[in-house]
Parts: sequence; structure tokens; C-alpha cells
Amino acid sequence: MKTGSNQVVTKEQASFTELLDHQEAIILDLETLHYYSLNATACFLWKQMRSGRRETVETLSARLASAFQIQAEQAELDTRTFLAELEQYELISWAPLEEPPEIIAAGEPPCESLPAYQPPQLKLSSSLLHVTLSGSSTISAGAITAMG
Amino acid sequence: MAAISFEICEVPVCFTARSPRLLTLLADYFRYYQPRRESGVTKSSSAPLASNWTQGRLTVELKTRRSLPAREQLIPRAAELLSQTGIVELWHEPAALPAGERFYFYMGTAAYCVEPGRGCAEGLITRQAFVSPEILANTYTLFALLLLLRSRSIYHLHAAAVISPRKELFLLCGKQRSGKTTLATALGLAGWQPISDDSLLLRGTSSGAELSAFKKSFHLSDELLTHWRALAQLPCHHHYLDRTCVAGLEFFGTRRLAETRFEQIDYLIFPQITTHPSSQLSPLPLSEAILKLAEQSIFFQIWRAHTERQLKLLIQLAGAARSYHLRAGADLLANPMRAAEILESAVEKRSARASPHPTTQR
Repeated sequence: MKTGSNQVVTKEQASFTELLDHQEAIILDLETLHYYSLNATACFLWKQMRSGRRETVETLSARLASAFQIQAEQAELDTRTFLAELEQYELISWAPLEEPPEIIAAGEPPCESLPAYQPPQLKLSSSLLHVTLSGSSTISAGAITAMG
Repeated sequence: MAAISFEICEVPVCFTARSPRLLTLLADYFRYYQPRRESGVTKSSSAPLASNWTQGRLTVELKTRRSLPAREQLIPRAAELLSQTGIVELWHEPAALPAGERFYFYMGTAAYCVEPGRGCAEGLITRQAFVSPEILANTYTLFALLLLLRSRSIYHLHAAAVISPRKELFLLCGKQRSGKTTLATALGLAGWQPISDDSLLLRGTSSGAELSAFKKSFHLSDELLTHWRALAQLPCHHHYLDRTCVAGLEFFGTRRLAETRFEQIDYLIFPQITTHPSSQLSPLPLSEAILKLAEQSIFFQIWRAHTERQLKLLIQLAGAARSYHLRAGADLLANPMRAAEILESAVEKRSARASPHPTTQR
């Protein structure tokens, strides 16, 4: 896991769509055709990473603690675990931080639209990799991933 | 050459053939789209490669043959196998030719070559394929057409659709034999309004997304027809394997309703036939439900831009839906009215939490 000297970069081919109630989201990796469902906390963190700001483990942890009003230690632990999972699935990478990130003020008001805190959760589905014909189970060839 | 032509989601479609039997079969299969007969139609292969994939009509040219050539003779070596389901193989030949990429369906008794760039397909149909006319139309020919429709941003969804007495749109989703038709029929017998027992079409519009029924016969299991006496009056068309094709839209009086374009899905129900004595409804996370629905979309993975677009359209339509897993037990099979009671309990729970939003229709 990288530290504060690196900023997180989300994968360009990861298409993110939030469900209407802002409680869940889906990421479609257009390179691998893997799909991920995200809970509200994971969704919050992903949106911070996609906000256009320079985000590090530390800034993300601070935003999580502030938004959900949880302890800083728990926020950092959960953020690191989540980022490690994203890295494992190659949904994020790390780049050197050329300028210092924005400082997050402690005690910022919580975000009212968020549900009660639950650790960020990412659920992988690779079932969509298989071409479906008429709803039947199929045998798929790796060739499908090479298609445009 | 003779032809039938009609429109699906405002896209003109034409089937040409020399065989009157083949055209009669397809005219019957697509009867809800009011096909027009044409004569003196020219060959589709002369159609120019479309500058983009949104223009012109889709043409499927069908030729009858005594037997099919060997697969190796029909499908070029450069093609790759994408999928195999039972006897149906789908092959893809990358866009090395001026005609663009090609797809090949090989089914043993029929074969199709699809050229999405030209908006056309050619099918070779053997006599053996006529033994099961419903499979020839509903599987073999439909696959080629659905792939062409996908290239025009019209996406197929494998799900049944039923309108509740409160005018809410319920989709019944799941694999073959999961109970979609059983549940749609049970709800129809309880006064709900089924508009499709397994196929829907999804497309984008200037204002968002819309869903409509793919209008065709319902395919009921023979067991169901024997079990539920109320179905005895159903007008039957064909019989294949252990299924009977029935005029479901006429029987349930939903032929006009099946023309509706929906802009919102209210409920996603995933039935599963079980041997338990009583049925059980349990909530399912919406993101999981949408992905399960996407899994049931034919050709979902073909063309990345369409995959992404279709997922976004699905989320737009179902993003505020409630989703449930229904384990259908012996009580539901014994009494079709039970299906409506169970699903109404879900509606009541939702109403207790918040006022239901009305289904948007156009």
C-alpha cells in the first residue's frame, strides 16, 4: 500500500454508474468486462477519487471520517483495505504526488444524504464475461475480451 | 424474391426468401408487428457498407438447402468461437474485410452469417430445421435479428413483464426454467396484465431510456397447461419439446397494452421454482439484481460501447426499483392466485415506507 507521497489514479476504462438512491453503484471494467457492485461507503470513496482532486490514502481517510462521523483510525484502516482491494483488481494505480494535496479540515459537518456507516464493500462479478444466448448458460472464449 | 417487412422499435426490418413456407412461418411469428408482403425484392448483399450503424433497414435473406456445408466450409479460419450454447455456436470474424466484421451462427440444421456494418444477414435453412418451426423462428432466426438490432442500439432483455393492478411494471427475470412464464401466467390468471413471458427490448431516447415488450407468443410448459384448468381456453399455435406456443396477449387481453413504452421499472422479481411447501419472497440488493438482469441480456458483451450504454440504460430504468428473490413453492403451483398475494405483500411493504411513484408510460 502506498502512502501520502502517492496519489491514487482510477482506471480510465472503469465505467461508474450510481443507482438512483445513492446507496449502491456499479463499476463496469470495459477492459476486462468484470463488474463490481459497491455499497454506499465504497461509492462515496470512488466518487472522491474521481472528483478531479489529488487524493491520497490520508485525504481519502479524512474525507471518510468527516462524511460518516467515524473515528480517524477506523476510517484509515477501512480506506487502506478498500484501496488494496481496488489495486488487486487493477481498478486503481498510484502516481507520484507532485503538489501537496488539499488539507481536510477536522470537524467538517457530516454529509446528511449518506446512510449509516458500513465498511466499504466491493463485490466482483465475472459472470457477464460469458456471451449469453437466450438466457442459457454458455461456454465463452477469451476472444470476447479482445472485441471492440 | 418475396419478402415480409415490418418495423421493430421504428427500425425497418425485411426478411426475404424464395420459400413461401418460410415466409409464412415468419409472418406468423412476427404477426404482432403487422408484416407486409412484398415481391420482387433485390438481394441484400449489394447494400453498401453503412457510414454509421444507424441507417437503413435491416435485411435477413433466407435460403433453403437440403443440407448444410461442413462448418469449416462456412466459417473462415480467422473467425473465433465466442459462445456455444447447446448446438448453437457463435463465431466472430474481425473486421479485416471491406464488409466489416462478421458473425456466424452455426446450429447444425441452420446457419447464419451476420454483417452488422451492412445491416444484413444471410441464413441457410435445411429441411430438418422445419421440423421445429418455433425453434427456427424463435431461436435461430431471432438470434441473427437481435444481433442486427443491437448494432442499432436496440437491446434485448430476457425477462417477462407484467403490469400490476396499481399500474406498476414488474419484470420477472432469470435463466430458462427459472419460472418467468409460470409466474407471469399465474399473475395473469389473478387479474394482472402480462405483456411478455420472456423477451423485452430496451433502447435510449432523447429523454432517457424506454422498455417495450417484444411481442410474440407465450411459451407455456405442457405441465402448466395440464395443471391450471383455467388455461384450457388458451388458443394454441405450435408445440415443441415440452412447450406449447399460445396466444397469451389475446388470452390476457393485453395486446394493446403490449404497445406501451415504459420509462421506469418498478419491481425486479427473480423467481425460482422449488419443492418447498410454501413460497417465500426475500429482498435482493438492487445492484445485484441489475447485474443479474444484465447477465440475461443476449449479446450484452458484444461491442463495448453498447455494453456500457445498455448498462446505463438499465440503471436509468431500474435505478429506483425494488428487487426480490421469489422462491416459488408448491402453494403457488397449486393455486396461481397465490403469486399475486405474495407480490402484493411486497407492494404493501413498500407503500408503508413511502408513497409509490407511478409507472411512467408513453
